[in-house]
Amino acid sequence: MKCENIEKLIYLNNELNSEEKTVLKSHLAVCRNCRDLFDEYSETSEIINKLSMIDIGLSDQNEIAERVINSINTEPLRYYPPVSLLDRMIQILLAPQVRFVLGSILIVLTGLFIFTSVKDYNSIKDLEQKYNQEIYSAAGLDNLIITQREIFETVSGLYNFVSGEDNYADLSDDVIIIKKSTLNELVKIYFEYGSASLINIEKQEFGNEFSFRDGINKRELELIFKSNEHVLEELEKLEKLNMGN
Amino acid sequence: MTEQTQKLIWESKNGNQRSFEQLIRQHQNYCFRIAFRILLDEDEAKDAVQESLIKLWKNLHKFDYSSKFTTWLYKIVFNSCMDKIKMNKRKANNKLDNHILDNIFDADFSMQNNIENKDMASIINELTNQLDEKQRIVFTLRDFESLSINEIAELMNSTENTVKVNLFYARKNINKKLKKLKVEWGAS
Repeated sequence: MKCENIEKLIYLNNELNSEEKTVLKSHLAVCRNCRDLFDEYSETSEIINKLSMIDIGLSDQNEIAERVINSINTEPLRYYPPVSLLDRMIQILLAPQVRFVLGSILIVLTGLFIFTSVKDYNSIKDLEQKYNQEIYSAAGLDNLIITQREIFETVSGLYNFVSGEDNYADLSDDVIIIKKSTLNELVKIYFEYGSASLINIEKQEFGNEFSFRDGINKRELELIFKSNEHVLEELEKLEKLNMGN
Repeated sequence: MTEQTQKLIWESKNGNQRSFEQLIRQHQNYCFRIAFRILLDEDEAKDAVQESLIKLWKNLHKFDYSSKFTTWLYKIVFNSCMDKIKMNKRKANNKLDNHILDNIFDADFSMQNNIENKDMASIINELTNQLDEKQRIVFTLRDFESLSINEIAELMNSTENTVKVNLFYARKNINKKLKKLKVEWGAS
């Protein structure tokens, strides 16, 4: 490296990185002029260093502090009320970075909500279309439309079958339709051959609902809901059994 | 930053004047040193520090801990000093303030020839004051007040490289003039 470049390294020798220090050291080992300059500046640097140690602090430690405090006492400065924990939290929430993150989360959640809503809406529309006929018939009480969920609830003890008009949004691939006539027959069988106290079906005026009340057991319900054909088979069995008796 | 200083900053931000007083008592000396290095006048430096500390009180709510508190404070001091220089339309005096100069002359350098070294000290001070303003400020803040290159760059709204260039020329100029004086003394 040229001496003029080394000159910079000499004057900035306390600011150098290890690589620059190595360059300087190797150059000084072979260049007398630069070595002389280095020694010369080292002497100057030593005096500068001693100059820096001279105390030029304030002679009176109270002077400035008191003047400042007096000044801020007389000036109507902005008032800062004590900060409560809530304010502190609000301050944190209002920090630009936090606002950005919260804003992003809100946007994503809104997007997700809209997406799922549209998806749900579409699937409901599909179901509506698919079961349109059945729903209308159900509303006319020709059929009962019963979803798996309702079966579950029924088995759990609600004993409540909904005809479908109000609940068609819940329709799924598991929907089973039982003809009203079939059900009536089934009920009749139960009245005649089962325990009369087990079943009571009534049509409620307001909701096109059939309600089963009292002690119908799980197996019996399963028989009803497995499928129409199966129900019919079971009914036949019951009838045969009855005739046998 | 110590935990105590952090506490004082927090309380001062919330309007506690007692904490603020403690805070400024902690930092006023160093603020004064910086102001004095820039303005080279004790009274001017005191005024600048006072103004800076009042500005600090008014603006402390803006301090967001993204930078070092001292660097933030020294920047206020630095700017107040620059405003003073601009307002007074004067460059730094060529003379050091007498009171401070006495201190410098009284300082014990623990060298062999005290008188010669006192002279050397006063000469270096003199030479420092002859430097171009930027070079002088960079030189005194770095070599007399031990601020880092990075801190000085931040105070002056400059880059580390520019600061280093100014520092290089400042040190070179002082050394060169000193060498010249030594040669003249040797000849006389």
